[in-house]
Amino acid sequence: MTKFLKKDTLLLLVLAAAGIYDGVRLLGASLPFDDPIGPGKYLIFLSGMLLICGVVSFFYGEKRETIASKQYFLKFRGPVSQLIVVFILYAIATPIIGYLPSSVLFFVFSSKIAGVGSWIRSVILGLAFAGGFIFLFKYIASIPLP
Amino acid sequence: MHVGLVWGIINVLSPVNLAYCLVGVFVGTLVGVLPGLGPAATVAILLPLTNYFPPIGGMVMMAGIIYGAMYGGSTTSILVNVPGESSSAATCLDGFPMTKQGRGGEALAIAAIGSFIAGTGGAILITFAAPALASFALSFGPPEYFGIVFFSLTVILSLSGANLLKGVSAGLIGMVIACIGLDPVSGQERLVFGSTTLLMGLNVVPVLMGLFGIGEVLTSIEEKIDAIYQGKLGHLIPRGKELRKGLFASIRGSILGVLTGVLPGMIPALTTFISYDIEKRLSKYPEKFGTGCIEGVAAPEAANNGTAMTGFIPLMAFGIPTAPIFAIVLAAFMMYGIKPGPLLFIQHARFVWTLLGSMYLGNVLLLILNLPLVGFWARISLVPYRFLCPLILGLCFVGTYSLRNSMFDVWTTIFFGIVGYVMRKANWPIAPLILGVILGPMFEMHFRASLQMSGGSPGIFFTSPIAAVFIALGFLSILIIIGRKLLNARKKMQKNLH
Repeated sequence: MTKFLKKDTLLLLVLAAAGIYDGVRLLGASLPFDDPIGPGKYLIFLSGMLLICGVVSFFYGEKRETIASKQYFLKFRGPVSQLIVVFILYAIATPIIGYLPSSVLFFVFSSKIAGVGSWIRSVILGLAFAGGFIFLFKYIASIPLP
Repeated sequence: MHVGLVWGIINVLSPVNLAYCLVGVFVGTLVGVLPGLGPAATVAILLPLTNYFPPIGGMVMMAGIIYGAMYGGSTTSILVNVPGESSSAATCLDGFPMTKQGRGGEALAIAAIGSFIAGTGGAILITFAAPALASFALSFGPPEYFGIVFFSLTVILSLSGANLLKGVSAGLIGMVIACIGLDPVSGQERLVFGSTTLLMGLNVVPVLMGLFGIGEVLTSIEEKIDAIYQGKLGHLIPRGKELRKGLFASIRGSILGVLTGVLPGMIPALTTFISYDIEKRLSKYPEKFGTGCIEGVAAPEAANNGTAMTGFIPLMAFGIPTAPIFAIVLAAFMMYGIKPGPLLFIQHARFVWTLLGSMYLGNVLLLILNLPLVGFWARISLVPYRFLCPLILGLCFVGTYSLRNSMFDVWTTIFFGIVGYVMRKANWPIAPLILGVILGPMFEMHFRASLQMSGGSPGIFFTSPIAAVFIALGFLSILIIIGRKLLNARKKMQKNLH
């Protein structure tokens, strides 16, 4: 049985369970006006449909994982993982050290991962992109930056 | 009326007003290209500029900004798969594949031509049928809107591709995601699990940018592509059969967009996906949609612009803004001391006819400005990806931050970027999830409002003829799609047996 309990079936079941749990919680909430459906019943309805999809996927879904879906679990040190780490560090660092320094670092590392040859070139690109963004968005378009 | 329109066009053709319109279209397109900045944000940013000009000139410039911003949002959708706003999401489905085939120029050109056709059609409709259409629009209430949204949700089946189950599941996941935050009717917390950050809910644009833009970047990085397209670019303007297909699709999209744009609350994203679905169903080769069909770009873009154009009708006729952008336009009207409503055409005739004249001219200027630039924009697909990738990422993050000045939206983009990448690897369709996120709130709001009106009786959906027709069409659509899938499966089985 576990052989066929694929990741997407599991995802559907987990999401459905979360939705049903919260929907049941909301059933007991008192509303200031008469609402025939209410927030809880609607959420339970949607989550119930997801549960049905999960069950159908369990019995009738694709039994064979595609080669592509197998491969993505293998490349933990690949460029995709590295880029995701850069995203996360950028989002953490920006409120702490400010937009300019964090963006310079972000552009340096993302361009290196994307294939820019030397670190010097990456640094030059990082400075140019970050400076350009600040000039364009902050001073020309008056768009607030982090 | 005809005299008024002619007078309005002549007034707009004065050198000063012409300059205002040109500047508005140009600036609107430039700012509209920036991801995350939809037309509403673009107009809000540029509104203070119009203060320096007289009322007519200011409004003509603002109208140009709106058309430019509506078109500009399609540029990044087509070239780098980053939709600037929800109404440009449908354009990504075939626009970006066209760019990957070296046909980005054709996609941009047909988007401009489609926008022109829809914009001109909308302006004609406003000129001759504004009061009648506005009265018709007011007859739409929650049951009628629910009917339209229900019908639109059947597009999820059409966008599911080969695997209906995954498509429906993705659509449902999108609708559940849309529930995160405060319930729009009662204000109860849903799916926040104690987190105060999640109370804000998830904005559609970061979800879009993550799924389409960041997801595509991650996939491209993994594939180590040198550029989005390598080789000689194809025609920059569609020709022959492609042009004919694009034009007919633009006309169909325009009709849909122009007629539905009158309805209050009718968001362009909804009409773009409906028009995409219509084109797919009418096509002799529906399986080719998603791989670079020109109709898949022309129709949504035309519907987008048409919806935006006729949204002026309820605003001018009744002073009712039907979308956030028109709320800003209304504010501008008030700023100039102009009160929209039934007496607008009488008390401010000069202003109204000049504004209508600027709609015709603005659409012409949009075409004149943007067609020559198609070659410039299309060459972006040739830029080495190692330089383009950081730019795309930077634009996505700035664009999402600018929505609510919140790092939470940036985190949302990152999260959905990873989700988009995983979905691509696991062959899950992305478009149904987007549609679920966009339509989920409308579906729920109108459904619950209708039942509140009827005291819980579902009969309200069948006593309203408009609602009943749309719901019936929705069920019919579901039956047709499922029937087709079963028929194809049966044919395949018979073929395998032989």
